[in-house]
Amino acid sequence: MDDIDQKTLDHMCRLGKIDLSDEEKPKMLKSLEGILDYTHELDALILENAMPCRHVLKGIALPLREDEPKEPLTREAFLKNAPDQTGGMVRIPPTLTE
Amino acid sequence: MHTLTAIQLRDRFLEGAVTAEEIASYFLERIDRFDPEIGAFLHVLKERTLEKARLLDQKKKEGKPLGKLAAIPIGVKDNIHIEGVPTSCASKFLEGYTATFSATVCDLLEEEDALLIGKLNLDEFAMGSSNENSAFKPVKNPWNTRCVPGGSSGGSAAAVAARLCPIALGSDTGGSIRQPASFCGVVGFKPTFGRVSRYGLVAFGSSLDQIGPITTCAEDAALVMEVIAAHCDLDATSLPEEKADYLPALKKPLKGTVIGVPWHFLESLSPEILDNFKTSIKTLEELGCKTLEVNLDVLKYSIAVYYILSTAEASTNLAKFDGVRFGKRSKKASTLDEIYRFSRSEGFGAEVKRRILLGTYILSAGHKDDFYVKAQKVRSEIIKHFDAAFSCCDIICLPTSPIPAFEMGALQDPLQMYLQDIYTIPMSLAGLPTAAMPSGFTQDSKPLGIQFIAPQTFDIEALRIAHHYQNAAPFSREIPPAFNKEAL
Repeated sequence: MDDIDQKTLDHMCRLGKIDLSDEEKPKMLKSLEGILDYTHELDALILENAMPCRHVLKGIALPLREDEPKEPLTREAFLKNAPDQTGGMVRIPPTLTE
Repeated sequence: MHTLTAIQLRDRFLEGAVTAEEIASYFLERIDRFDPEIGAFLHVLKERTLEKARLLDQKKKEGKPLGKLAAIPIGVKDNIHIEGVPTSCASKFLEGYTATFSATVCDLLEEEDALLIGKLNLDEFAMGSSNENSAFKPVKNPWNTRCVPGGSSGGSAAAVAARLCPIALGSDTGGSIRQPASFCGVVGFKPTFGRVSRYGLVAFGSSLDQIGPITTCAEDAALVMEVIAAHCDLDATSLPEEKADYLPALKKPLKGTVIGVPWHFLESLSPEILDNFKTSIKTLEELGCKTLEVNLDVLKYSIAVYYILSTAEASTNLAKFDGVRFGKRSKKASTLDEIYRFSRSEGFGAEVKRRILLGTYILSAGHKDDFYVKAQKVRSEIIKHFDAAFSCCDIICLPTSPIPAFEMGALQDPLQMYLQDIYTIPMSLAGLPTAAMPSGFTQDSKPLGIQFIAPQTFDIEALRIAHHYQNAAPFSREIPPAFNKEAL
């Protein structure tokens, strides 16, 4: 089955925000082709009356917690892992350019 | 001390035979001496552990009540947060990242006076079945260091097998606790989905992930479950029940327990693995169990379903790694879009990229019905078939893996690697509690394993049968010869 070609892979890379090198592309394409081909095993099943599984736990009502505010992560703790920061904010390149 | 179970170790501490600091020092020395041979640990928390051990000794001296896990060193898979400690997920993307909060499970363990001794190696972002996908170093199997320990919780299983710590936490999405436990000859338990909080576990597949214990005996796994299996307000998929007593329930006799075996589903097993499995079933019959055949042929579709659903969920979960707020930010990037693309491309390994791209494709316009919705329907069918089987039996048994631990580099084709998860994936799809126990060895001394599967929420039952099986077939007590010695 031809689910995926180079053009489709390039589109998935754009959607997934992943760049592949010229060396990575053919290997990745081949492995994805093989895996997607395998998933077509499911085509053999008759699923007209099957319902999609929305939640794996059956017949169990999961409780919601009380709507009470709790202490959030502090700005200081959050910024400890920020790659670039200024004035208590994460810094990124401008998103609007001329 | 390395031959003791966690419960025996704790009891020695409580009796005053050994201090918490002595226990901590002993295992830290073992890690120092033996871990270079297997690469199980990514971070060893030496000072933190010794400090907590000293505080625990003081607490004991003052006569204060001590926790259920007092002085037990526990390793934590490095996709589970401990505040102030690195969490790398074995990825270059998170190299240098420090956790800003602790996972619920880690808080619960420390409330019961456990000593969290280090962060354990894994396949990057828990994606893998051999621990060859760690960005930093592979893990070696203590039974045969040319072989993989399994994955993705390879570090956790290897550390317990080599007796570098008596307990480790792993995470299981498609078999990542159970398969490495089997490859390393130790006990691994995957709880019912929702039984253990996922708060603080870096998400891979949110409808599949569960944290669970890897130990050297079923009692130790039961003890850990008494501590970590409880409702958590911070996990929207957390079961409502509070903590329960697991240990007393282990003793209830097995006589009359009905075991379901899907023999037809096992027809392609190699003779050696099938013989080992049949021997285990005979052991259960000698313990008073009845066995009957159940039809679970539908499980042959599990791998296709899993690699559609888990990669779809993973592509969403890993979208947060964008180089903006934390983690790797590429130095080559000069626009926001380049930050996203370059950081992710430089930070993620090949297997992670493969699963993100696969998941992106599956969820993309025009493909969702063909793949994702179809897989969700088959998932429902798999759950229905398990329900039908459990209507006539109490426990279902399967081998843990169709093959024992393989040599590093032996499985290069990703699909071939995925196909080895055939006996663990189904229970992840159905959210079923499953105990993986050592069941013997191959002719060339590689561990083998069997799984005991219970209906949803019957976690105690899975551990109970595991405990009785282990008493009759104590393979989990075997220690790899190279590590069955003192560090000094």
